[in-house]
Amino acid sequence: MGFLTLENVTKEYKTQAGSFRALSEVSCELENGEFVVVLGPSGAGKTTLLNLLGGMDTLTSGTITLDGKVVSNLNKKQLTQYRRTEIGFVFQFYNLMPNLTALENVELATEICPQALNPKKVLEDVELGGRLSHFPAQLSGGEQQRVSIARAIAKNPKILLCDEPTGALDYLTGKNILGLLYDISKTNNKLVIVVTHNQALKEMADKVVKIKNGQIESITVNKNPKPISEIEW
Amino acid sequence: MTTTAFKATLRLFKKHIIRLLTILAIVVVSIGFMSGIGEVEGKIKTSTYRYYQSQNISDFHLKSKNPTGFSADQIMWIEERFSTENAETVFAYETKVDEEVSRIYAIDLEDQHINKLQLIEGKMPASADEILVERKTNFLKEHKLGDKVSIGGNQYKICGIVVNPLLLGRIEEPSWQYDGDHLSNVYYFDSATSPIVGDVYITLDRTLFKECFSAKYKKQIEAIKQELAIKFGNEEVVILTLYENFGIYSLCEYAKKVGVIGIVFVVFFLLITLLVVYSTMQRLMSEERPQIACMKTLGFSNFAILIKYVLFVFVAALLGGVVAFPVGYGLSYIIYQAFNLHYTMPAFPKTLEFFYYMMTLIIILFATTLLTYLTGHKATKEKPAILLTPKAPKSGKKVFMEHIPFIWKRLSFKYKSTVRNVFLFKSRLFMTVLSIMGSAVLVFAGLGLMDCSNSIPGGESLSTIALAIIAFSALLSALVIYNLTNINISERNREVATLMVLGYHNKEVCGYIFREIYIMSFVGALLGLPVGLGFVEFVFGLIDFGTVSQIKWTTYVFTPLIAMAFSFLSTLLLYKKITKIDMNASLKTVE
Repeated sequence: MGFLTLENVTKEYKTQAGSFRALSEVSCELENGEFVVVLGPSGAGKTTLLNLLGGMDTLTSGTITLDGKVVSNLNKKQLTQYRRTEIGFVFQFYNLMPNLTALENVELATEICPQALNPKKVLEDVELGGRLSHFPAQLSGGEQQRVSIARAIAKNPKILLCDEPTGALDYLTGKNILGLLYDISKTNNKLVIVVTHNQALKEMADKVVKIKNGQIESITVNKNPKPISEIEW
Repeated sequence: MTTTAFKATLRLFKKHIIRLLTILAIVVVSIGFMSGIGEVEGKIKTSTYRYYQSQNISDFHLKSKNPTGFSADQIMWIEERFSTENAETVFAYETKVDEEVSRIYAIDLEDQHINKLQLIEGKMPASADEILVERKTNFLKEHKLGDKVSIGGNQYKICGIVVNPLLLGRIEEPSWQYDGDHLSNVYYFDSATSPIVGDVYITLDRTLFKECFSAKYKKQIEAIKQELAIKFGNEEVVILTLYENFGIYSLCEYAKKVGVIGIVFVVFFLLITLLVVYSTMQRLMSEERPQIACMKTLGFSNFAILIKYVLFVFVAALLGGVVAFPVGYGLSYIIYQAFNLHYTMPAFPKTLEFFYYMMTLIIILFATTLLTYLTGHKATKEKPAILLTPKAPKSGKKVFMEHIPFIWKRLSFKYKSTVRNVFLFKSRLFMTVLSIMGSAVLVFAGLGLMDCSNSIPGGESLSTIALAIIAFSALLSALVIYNLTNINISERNREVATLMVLGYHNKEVCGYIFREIYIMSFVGALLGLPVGLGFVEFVFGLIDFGTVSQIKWTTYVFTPLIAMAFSFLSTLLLYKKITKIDMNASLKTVE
């Protein structure tokens, strides 16, 4: 059994027209320290998968197990606790609080986590040691995303979930951020899952999960992932 | 309007039904109060004038100081000067038995045409041993039909209870004969002839009194009073006008006071209503930015784009206005009936008076639609390309408090963020504080007026108005605070969703949002005290009633407490709304 295991995960949405299967019988195993890329066109079920992994939604049938614990049958309150301690979330649009400084944005997450890392130290790790008291509006897009990443890892979560983390960034900054996320998976020994529609990213991943029409199309393991600096798109 | 545009308008109504209902409710409370309180003066004047006409109340009451009364020549002069129809002679005297003063009138009941007694119980005398008695007031004693009374050694049976229009007030009626005493009983004999004519009632042109004590009426009264004074001389005859009649004059004076209170409060209610409706529509349209941009790229005119928002606010305000009509009518009725505490009020005039209602409705309809159109117009003036991109988020800033490390360092992280938020969104701070302050001022004024009404003897007749002000202001405050809290939450959807994804529990998320609202409510309510004090002083000065020192300390405590209670209640009601926010909102593009 893997560090994060999905078994026959199915999610159905009830609509006026009847029920709609966003995910159907999805199974896969992901390991600690892996850099995983979930690929798929829009509407394939990526966001649904992200919501289920992130404890933001409940599944219809199947099981999700994290570090030996079943997390797919948690109630609302337990789900909040799960998001709080086990999940670090990196948003496409950073979602920083505009009225908090970089440091305070990280503290927003760490002050509710018992096993949190030192916020200042984490910001220094993402090379923002000199921008601690800057507000989001005073930071570039790439810097804002770094704060968002710092906020996610400072919680010291079991998984880092990233939703199109480079979607709002320019090419070079995006590459830079992906490199950072890759390094985190190795140096902090974290499972990092990046959800994207950018095909080029499959070359840098340890594992590529392709989704199509709510089902897993393929799971590929890269024995020798390419460094991001060598990938062009 | 095309079919699609009509459909889009209907969807807008459906989607924002809560906001529609909030605007509607605020308009109901506001117009209901404004028309209700505003129309009272008119109602009282109308009913007083009708009563004046139906009972044919005299404009002059001449009282002879001579024990033998008016001479035949004097009466003849009066009847020639004013015509027999407009003059009536009366004989009345007073007796004092066991410290109780009774006044006895001898009137030709069958031929009574001025100051007609109004029979409220029993029947008119049919024989010489039957008499009428004045109804019970705060000072006049109660009599029952069939009771026997002894006057001048003779026994009489009470056959009817009446109201003398000159004794409209329930307050004490001073004795003419015994200085410092007041009347305990008033009896009326039927007497075709009177041995002595001690009193003469004179009526003038009835239409002069249409506006009660108007300048025109006063001018006429003064001219004739002078003529009468010259004719009779001050030594011989006392000339009484309606100005000296406590019942009718003070009733009209109180009506005027209510009228002034009405106008002042109408202005205040109107301002708050406009402020709140405006901020609601502003928020709604900023949420609709992408739709507005889309319509614009499709080539719709600004008018075609904005008409649905204008219709939204127009329909909400109009429906509110319709519901407000019976509310206002009912409020006028309640305040009018409250005057019965001190006056025997003529029946409530069932006329439909529209002035305040129409005025406030038209102002609200006009101002809210115009403001909505102008706000929208500003948005549509931007190029679609700019409209399609989200409004740039406000940049964070250090607030002045951060430069005082003594305070700032002692604040916990949660409060630092709250303080920054409060000062960052200045327009939100301004709107919230101003609206809540306005509501607090109204509540304070209502409570203050109540304190004074209770501590001034005879000032009660204003406590019902104070109660109405308190009730409606409190209702308005509750709606205003609910609405502002609602707007605040919908503006911060994304923030809430992000906190939820970060693993904040419902209570923690609500604390984060609500702390800010509580602080702003508290500041608004506190500011309401000095402003309310100034406002009350202004109102008291206008109506020449009460002083600020009569306001009890409890009013100073209750005013902010009430605002905070509503704030708390609103956040409680909106707790569900926060917990129901979809976490996916955090994943979407910035709206």
